[in-house]
Order: sequence, then C-alpha cells, then structure tokens
Amino acid sequence: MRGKKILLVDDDADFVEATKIILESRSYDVTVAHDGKEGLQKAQTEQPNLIILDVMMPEMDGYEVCAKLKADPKYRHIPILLLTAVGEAIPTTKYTLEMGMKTEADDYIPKPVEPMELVERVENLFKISGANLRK
Amino acid sequence: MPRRVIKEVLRSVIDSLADGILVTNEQGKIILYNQKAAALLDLKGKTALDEPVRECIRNEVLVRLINKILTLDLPFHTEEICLIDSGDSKLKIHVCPVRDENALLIGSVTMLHDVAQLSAIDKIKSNFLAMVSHQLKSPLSSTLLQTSILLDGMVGGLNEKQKDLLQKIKAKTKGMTDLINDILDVCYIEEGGYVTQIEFLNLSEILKRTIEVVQPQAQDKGITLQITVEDHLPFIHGNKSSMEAMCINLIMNAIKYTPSEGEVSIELEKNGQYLQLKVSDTGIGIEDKDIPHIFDKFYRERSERTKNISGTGLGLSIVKGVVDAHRGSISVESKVGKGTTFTVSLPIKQES
Repeated sequence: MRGKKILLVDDDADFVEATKIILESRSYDVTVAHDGKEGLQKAQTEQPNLIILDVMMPEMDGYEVCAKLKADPKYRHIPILLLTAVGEAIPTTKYTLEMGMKTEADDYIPKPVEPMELVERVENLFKISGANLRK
Repeated sequence: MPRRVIKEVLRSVIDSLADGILVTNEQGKIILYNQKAAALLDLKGKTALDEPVRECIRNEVLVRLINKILTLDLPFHTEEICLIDSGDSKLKIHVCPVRDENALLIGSVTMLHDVAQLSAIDKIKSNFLAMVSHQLKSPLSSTLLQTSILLDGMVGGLNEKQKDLLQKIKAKTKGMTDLINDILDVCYIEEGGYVTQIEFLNLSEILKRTIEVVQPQAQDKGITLQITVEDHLPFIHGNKSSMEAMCINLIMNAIKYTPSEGEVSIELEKNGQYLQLKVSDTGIGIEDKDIPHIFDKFYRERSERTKNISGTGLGLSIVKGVVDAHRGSISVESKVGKGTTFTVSLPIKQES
C-alpha cells in the first residue's frame, strides 16, 4: 500500500484511539480530528486519501463536513465513510442510517462496528477510488 | 331559548371548535363548515356552501372518503379515519355518516384534526431518543473496539484466562447495545411516536428484506429459512419501522431458539379481511407454564436449555406492541422439544 493516509474525525477520544490502532496495524497512515470544524480544516491541509467521519459531533456534524467537502471540486474525489451511531428504531430524526443514505457519502456504517468490518470497508473504498482515478 | 338564539349559539360553538368540521348532504354538497375547516382545507368563504365537495376540496383522499361514506350506506356504523396532507399541515380526518331519526342517510360529517403539533412533539421526542441512544451507544462502541483490539492480540499476547474474561466483557457489552436498541424500539412504539408516520405497506416486501438481513445468522447455524408468500396480497395501513421491528423480532427469535440444522418457515397469506403471518420453527418450544408470560417485558425462560441463548427479553413485547397498535392479534402454539408457531393477524385497510 502506497502511503494511504486516512483522516479520522470523531469526538470520542477512546474510539479514535482504538480505531487508530486498528488502522495503523494495517499500515495506514492516520491523522485525527476531534470535531467537525477541525475535521474540515485537516481535510484541506492534510490531503488525506480517505476520510472516516462520525455523524454526531459538536461544532459541525458529519453531514455538514461531508456536504462541504463534496461540494468542493478540490476535495470531492476523497472517499468518505460515515459512521452513524443511531439505530433504525427512530426514523424521524436526522441521525439515522436512512438519512446517511441521502448524503453524498461513499459508504456508511452504524456503530458499534467490528474492527474487521471497518477494515474491509476502508479497503473496499480504496479499491473503488483507485479504479476511478485510473479512468 | 328561542330557536334563532339557539341557532346563533350553536353557530358560535361550532366556529369555536379547535378541530375543523365539514358537513355534506346526501348528494355530497357542502351544507356546513366552521372557520377551522375553512382554514385547514383552504375553502373560500361563503362560496363553498351548496357546492359539491369535489369542486371545493383539493385533497382527493378526503373527497373519495366522503363519497365512499355517502354511497356505501352500510347498515352498521362505519367511519373512515385517515391521515392526509393539506397544504403545509398533516390532518387526521374522521368521516362518518349522518342519519336522521329514521336511520336514513342524510349526509356526512368530517372532523379534521391538525396533527402538525403532534408531529412537532414527535420530532422533539425522537431527537431526544436519538441523543440518548447516541450517548449510551457511543461509549459502548469504543469499549467494544478496545476489547476487540485486546482479543486480537494487537497490543500484546494474552493468556487463556485473560482471553476468556475479555470475551465475556465483549459479550456483555454487545448485549448492552442490543438492550439499548430494544428499549428504544419499545419507547418508540409505546409512546405512539409513529402516529404521523402511517402509510400503505407491502408486508411481503418487508418480510423478504428481513430474511435477507437474518440469512447470515441462520446460515451460521445451518438453519433453513423457508418463505411462502401469496401473490398479489393487499397492502396494509401501518408504520413501516414498527412492522420491520415486528418481523425481525419474530424471525430472529425463531432462529435463536432453534438448534443447528433446524428449520424456520414463514408464511404470509390473506385470510378473510386479514393478512395472516405465520412464523414456525423446529426449535426447543415453550413450556405451558411460560406461555402466559412470553409477551411480558424482560420475561425470559431461565433454564439449562436457554442459558446459552442471548437476548434482552423485550423481543416479544415489541412484537405484541406493534400488533396491538395495528389492531391485530397474535397467538402462539408450541410443543416442548418440537417447535413453536406464532400467528399474527393484521386487518387489511380497505382501498378507498
């Protein structure tokens, strides 16, 4: 893998630490941000190859960050994996998997997520985006 | 009071009602309505009087229901209840026939209730539940990840005892996440939080999707899932996510309580004015003494034969909650060691 840089944006420090360990064990380069605003900044300054974005965060939530990045031609190509924390029991709110599917994110997983599943989705997104860039 | 005064008092009362009221004669011409109805249905002043409903009311569902009530003239009391969209608001409408003292049909009366406020409250409650869910599930997500990292040896090797304890921690934590999900389901259903989310549902589609979701777990246990659905089944009126919760709980239960290489069969067919759903398994069955309690919240058989089966004890109470909310019924037949069959009957909404 050629220096694949992942930007991980989540306000839960434990989740960030654990996910960083998992991704680094697979030789990915991981940068972190603890809220939406910082996440947006780092997406622009660090040029990651993939962004993992939690939906519920203070300052700016994952949807907003995702929308802003996808609207910008400079960052549109970066695959975004949205993490949604709320189950489908409450379909009327903005934080459900259903809502996630209406955004432009490239993939979405509900928490809690198994490490293997997370790694698989990340690898999948890299494969797809790699194929797209070659076109 | 002289009749003129009574009439005026009645007029004032009707105009002061918080709900809209609309009365037609037996030909479907509007003969009375109040200010609230005029506002909710955007009726133009006095000009709506003596006009047929289809000329004045934009909402087709309402017009159809009024015509239905007027033409069917059924010997027993009927009423049509429905949710409609009118402009920006969502309205709950209640259409009834009006009969004179000789029981002759002389018109229809419609009550219009604005549920916009209810859906605003629903949204607040739902957002609150979403917040609670997030606050409870997020820390558990991290804990699960941390235990997985330890178990995978990513931060050092473990001895058998350490592995064993960690696996137990992981299982308990996963159990808590399931519990939170189930409690949220229960809250959602019991609070009637879905009252503004009713639509026509294709139950066979919902079942097929549910089966896709549980297929891997059934496969892991070598359990065959057999589904038989009648063609061209009518739609039912209800709440989608509640129905999904009901199906998944019934089928997951069947899978959980059936030992390896068993069979779970799901049948959906029309039975008179009802849709009948049968979920049968070749599982361990339910003892007679437990049957009266199985729909109780948190009730679980705690014995040798169920000690390895995980669950929150809320599944069947969720199922019962959904069945009751949709004015259906549920029954169970079971033989210990042979299997169990749950039968759910849901009334079919007449196409209006």
